[in-house]
Amino acid sequence: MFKPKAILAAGIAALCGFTASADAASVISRLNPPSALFTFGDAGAPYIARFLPGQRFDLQCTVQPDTGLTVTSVSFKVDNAVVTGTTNLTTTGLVGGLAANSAVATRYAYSITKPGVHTLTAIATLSDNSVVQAVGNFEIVRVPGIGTLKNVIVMIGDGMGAAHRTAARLVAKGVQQGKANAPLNMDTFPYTGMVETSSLNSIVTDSSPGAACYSTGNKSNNNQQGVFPDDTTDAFDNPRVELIGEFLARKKGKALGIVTTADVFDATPGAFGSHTSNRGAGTGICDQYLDETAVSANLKVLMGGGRKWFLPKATSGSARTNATDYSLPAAQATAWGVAQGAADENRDLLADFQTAGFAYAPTKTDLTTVAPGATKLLGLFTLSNMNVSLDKIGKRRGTSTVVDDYGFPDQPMLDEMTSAALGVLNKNSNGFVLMVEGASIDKQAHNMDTERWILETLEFDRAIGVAKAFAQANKNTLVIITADHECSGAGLIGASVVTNSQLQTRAASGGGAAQLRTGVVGTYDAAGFPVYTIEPDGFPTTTDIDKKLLVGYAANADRYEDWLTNPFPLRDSQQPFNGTAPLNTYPNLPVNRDTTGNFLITGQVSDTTAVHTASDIPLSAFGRGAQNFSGYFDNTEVFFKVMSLFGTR
Amino acid sequence: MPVSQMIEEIGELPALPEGVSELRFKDFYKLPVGPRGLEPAETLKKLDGTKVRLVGYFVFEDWSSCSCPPDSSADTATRKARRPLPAWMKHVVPGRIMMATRPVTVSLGHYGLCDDLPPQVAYLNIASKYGEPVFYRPGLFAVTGTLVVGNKDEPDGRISYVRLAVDSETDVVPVGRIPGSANSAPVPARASAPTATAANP
Repeated sequence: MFKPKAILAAGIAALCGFTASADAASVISRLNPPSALFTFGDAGAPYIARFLPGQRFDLQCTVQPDTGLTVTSVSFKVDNAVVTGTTNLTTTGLVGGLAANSAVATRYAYSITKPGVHTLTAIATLSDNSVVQAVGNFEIVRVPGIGTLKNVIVMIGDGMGAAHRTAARLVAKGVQQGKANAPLNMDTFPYTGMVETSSLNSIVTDSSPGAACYSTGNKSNNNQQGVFPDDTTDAFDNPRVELIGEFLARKKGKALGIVTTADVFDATPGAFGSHTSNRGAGTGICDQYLDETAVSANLKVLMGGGRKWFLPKATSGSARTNATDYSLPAAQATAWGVAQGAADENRDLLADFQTAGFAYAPTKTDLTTVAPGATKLLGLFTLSNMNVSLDKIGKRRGTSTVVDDYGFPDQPMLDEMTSAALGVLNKNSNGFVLMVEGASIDKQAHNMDTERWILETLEFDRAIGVAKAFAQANKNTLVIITADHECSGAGLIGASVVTNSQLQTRAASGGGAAQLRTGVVGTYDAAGFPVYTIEPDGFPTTTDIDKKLLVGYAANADRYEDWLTNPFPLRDSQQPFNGTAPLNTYPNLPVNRDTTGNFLITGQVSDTTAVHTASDIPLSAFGRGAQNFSGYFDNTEVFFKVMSLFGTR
Repeated sequence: MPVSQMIEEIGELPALPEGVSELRFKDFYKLPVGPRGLEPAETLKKLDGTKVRLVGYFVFEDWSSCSCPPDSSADTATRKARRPLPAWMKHVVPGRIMMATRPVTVSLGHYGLCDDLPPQVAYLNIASKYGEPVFYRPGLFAVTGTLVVGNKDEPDGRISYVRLAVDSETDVVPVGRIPGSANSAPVPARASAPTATAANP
């Protein structure tokens, strides 16, 4: 509900800090959990902060005292009842711009079971005995105590919007006379919804809050996962929200699995196993996987790239630094019952995982060997992101050496990782939460590398097939296919009307739009139905067929386009000896790919790659409770829909 | 296209200057990588501290900042910048550029250290670009400098292992034909329709 007048008035009140005395300049400038009541004075729905009965979260406020004053104490009330327990004051390590003697006050690991909307009041007493207070609210969502769901598999195609799904289907299955010849695995899911993806501070989210909404039921600022924003500089001391894995391990003894094709510290996997306001703090995020998540969330499976965070700093290839490590305030660690952590860049995290009972698989071959007998599984197949499917499949076909050049020739595909993960997790009799991410759909869409993200989507869909088969065999399992956001504003604009040979000739001509747009881009009737040949491995023989599918980008950076598959991953000139400028010139446009064709498409954004968009993303559901996932809903609602199937006791 | 294949297309590289050894990316580490970290190859260790020539691609560092928080990892005191860089260059490490065996893009602002860098990366510290950004150039380059091997914290939070101390930009030489240049190695023809498997030879 939007209330402009109320917001204006309340906004002024918020700026004044809801002060108790008219002349006091002291102010409570932030109150967590965030709420429209605190920020805008809007007491109505929708409620920004929503939790499960018994789900833990931190209460926190920032107090900026008037000149010459200090903060002596802070207390919190919920529905006018004083919250018991210690409130900790932090006065150092605060962000710039706050008044002198400001304090951040936190009551850690609060929870309440009574459903409904609750009023949160922060009351700060200052050194002159004046009092300042602020009021916000949060909601405890009513969910059944007893649920019938045992397992959930959350599959996130990072950046995967409707166009990515459609493109994958067109390439893999084809269309004749207006109907797809066959569906993708994700198309066979019986229920589909549309999900709004905005984050706490922007209509356009990044992957941290875009994924954390599914693990916490709450919004975060961009770059933040498992926490609310605060006014300290420490990236790991933010007010926390209990994650789905932590809650279900604590309440029901469920296990957690995290599988990705990215570096395992990346935002989406990190959102299911860490609490930080800095998605880039890889050392701390990976340490938390073992120190916290393996203990409090029963983490049993962690697979992807990112070995560099698990090697002691002195080891070649390590990326561990104290600057990206974590150490919690003692009171926060105690309240949450987790390890405090330490800046220990020389830690051998890989060895520590093995000591904790994790079987380790550095290759696909090892994965095949160790997974069947493992009760805990760690797979780290590259130093950072895993290679993309185009390159992994190329190795298996014996026609590409990219993975050899990277030094990791034996990497598993995502469906193989998913299968291994399910085998391990299914040994936990209490059930599990498994997150599987097709990470490079997003990364290749950023690069506007059409063929690579289409193949990433196909790799993801094959993993979906594995999850679906598991759910068919285990009826108390729910599988959700969704994304964290859309990436690149991809749109299927039609198909080429020329053969591949003709397209190559045009691309080599330097004729620009006259050669690569006019007479090439077929729309409406001219687009027809592109036909790709699919190999037994599930991927196309070639992506440069005659009259191929053409994709445009609404969130694009400047780029040259020739529609042909880029022989190089990522950005560089296909013919690097053309147009090389003198070393001291300024590269005013970093568009170095496909330049020969001279068909420049000017981007709407000034970034050097395409960006995320605020477009809704599709969600498909299969299995127990799937019928709850149709219609339009906010991304945080997915968490509550899942948890209503699990129940909270 | 990896460096080795591109060199084959070009043919012979210019003769090595006296006292300079050829260092190849394949000489960095033992491949394939074992179950833990990287193991430096004997060639790399043997050439440590000597003048070497390395042929490779610059890494394209996307400096756009997305919505990332202030860069607390970059120690500006150690950057020794001659003058402050504009805000949009906050991820720039002055005087440095990375070189790899393949064309590759990294985006510290978007992804932090979650990247697609191959393990074989050399960090070029160019003395004549002291305090200034080193701008990306497409194409293949031969760089001559003193090889320094060993872990070192970089100002952007990375840890380098192979570094080249390069005196001047003149030690960074494009390989292949430059428009208007007498250096006229033929431009390789575009590969015929790249297949899904052969797109990345």
